[in-house]
Amino acid sequence: MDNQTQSKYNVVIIGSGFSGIVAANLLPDSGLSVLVVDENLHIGGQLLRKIPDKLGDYEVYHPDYVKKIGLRFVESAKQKKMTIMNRTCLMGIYPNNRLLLESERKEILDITCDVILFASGARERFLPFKGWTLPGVISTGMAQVLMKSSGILPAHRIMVAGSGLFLFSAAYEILKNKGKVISVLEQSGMMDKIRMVPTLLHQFSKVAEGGKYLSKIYLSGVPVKYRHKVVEARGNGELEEVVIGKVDSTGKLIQGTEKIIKTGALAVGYGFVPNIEAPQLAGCELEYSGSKGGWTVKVNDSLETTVPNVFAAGEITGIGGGLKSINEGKIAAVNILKKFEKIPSTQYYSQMAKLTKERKHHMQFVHYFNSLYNIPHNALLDIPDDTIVCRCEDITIGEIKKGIAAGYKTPKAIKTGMRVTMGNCQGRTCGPIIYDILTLLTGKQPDQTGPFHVRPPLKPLSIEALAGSIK
Amino acid sequence: MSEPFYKKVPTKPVVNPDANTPLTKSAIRCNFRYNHFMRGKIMENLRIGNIHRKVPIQFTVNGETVSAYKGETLLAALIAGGYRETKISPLKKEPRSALCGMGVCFECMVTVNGEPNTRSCMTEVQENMVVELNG
Repeated sequence: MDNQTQSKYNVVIIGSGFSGIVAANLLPDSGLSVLVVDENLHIGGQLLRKIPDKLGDYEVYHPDYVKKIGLRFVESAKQKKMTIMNRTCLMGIYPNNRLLLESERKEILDITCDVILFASGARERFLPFKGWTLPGVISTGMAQVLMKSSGILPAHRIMVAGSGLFLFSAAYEILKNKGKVISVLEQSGMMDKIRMVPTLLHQFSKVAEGGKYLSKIYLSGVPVKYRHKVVEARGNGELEEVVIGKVDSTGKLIQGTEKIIKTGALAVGYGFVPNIEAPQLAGCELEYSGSKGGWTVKVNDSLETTVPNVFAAGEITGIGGGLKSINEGKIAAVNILKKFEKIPSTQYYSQMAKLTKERKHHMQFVHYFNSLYNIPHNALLDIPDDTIVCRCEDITIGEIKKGIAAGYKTPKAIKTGMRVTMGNCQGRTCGPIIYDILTLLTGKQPDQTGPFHVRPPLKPLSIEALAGSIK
Repeated sequence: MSEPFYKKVPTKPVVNPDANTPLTKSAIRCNFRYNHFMRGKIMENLRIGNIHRKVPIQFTVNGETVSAYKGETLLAALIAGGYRETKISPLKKEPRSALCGMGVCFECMVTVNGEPNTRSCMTEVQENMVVELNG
């Protein structure tokens, strides 16, 4: 690993999460020059977070099976001959695979490459409720990030709410670190999960993981409430109490079942959406599929996107967790090697046969996993009109509904007309909700109306960096 | 049952008699606890027990001294120090704090060493860092 940057690389990998780091491990041995770019403080992405060596050491540390594999890849990547740039943001992508990056030292780097591999991962999806903007309402991901990379609990008493498997993983992590989980609220019913079990035949490790989480939660005496949701978060300046209520099988709140519970923090999570902004900017075609997690990058069997020499791997082709990302990282690496003619064709076909078969099982899991996160229409209709949806621009759901009634019926129109998704986060937080609201109110699926438009810079760029680049 | 430690009223803050000599560690902790109590917050130790932390550091938030450890993110250090709120929303002027914790939502933006709009979740806390909230 070295930090010297050059202006031309064979392969640039965007994102050093599971799939990125796996692909990065397989490429440099064949003599290709590789650059790995990651925005985070440490490489490894969201799943492979651990307490940095600088901060301290664990007394006992038992990473699970998938994480152990990933951490081994991260360590071996550091030994290989490639450039790894963490704390570096991708700002723009231009024709002929030209990339503009903003480095940690606020410099603009202009880099060209032969092949780009996008492995930009996923972010969390939210469902607004009254008071979700209060300090103290956090995502389940943030609860995990605080504990895993800084060793800090978000609060002593935490309530976990939302839908999907990740709630249990977050609750498990809090309990393991001696925090108190008041209760776990799951919007869907218990039967919805059990019905899906047959599709998990090839995912023994995931079933085992789920069992581990659930047993810890039940043994700690934490109530798991199915068909419950957060109605409102209240507090003066910061979160103090949460109103919870029962929902029926269509996701509608049953009046009169509300309860008020005091809590220090509320961790919410409603599944994941792929980070497709960068591939979209590169011109890759997207496809919308609810059972893959929303807008995903369209890829063929060798994971090449619709733009030649641009590959995509990991969560951006469908939300499916660590094992799928490892598999896709390998597929992408093998196909990139083939592109540079660095792999004999017999070896290529034998490896691809094995990997493609594995990927089929992972894609089955993708469909199961994302079906748990379906947000029912009634859950959207229950949101009161004065609830903020676009947090950056303070736009409420009432205003958005009025805008749609006035004729802003596509993402592009609502963006120009209402300023939603035009704030600092560029629609990364509220965008998925707005697709759902539009589908509900106009009756048109997102693939008919198209995604929000993206343009460079992908993240806010400091003037200092711009001024430095002019010199 | 004895009362939990955070419900006890902390002792008065220690005033430094001589500006040149630094405060002792226990005095700093006493002041730290008192500051929290005065802000009407329950002093909670949110740091997870089973980690041997190496280098303790100090930084200032709106002029108050806060202790943290090297390697923590600024957001984590702020939360552990009792500072939930990081910014005021632009139009409705509501208090806000981090939502995603991984650089997506931009709700944790603070001013770090004079540089505004820095995401605290993507910044490492440093010795003598000057942080301004609600900017």
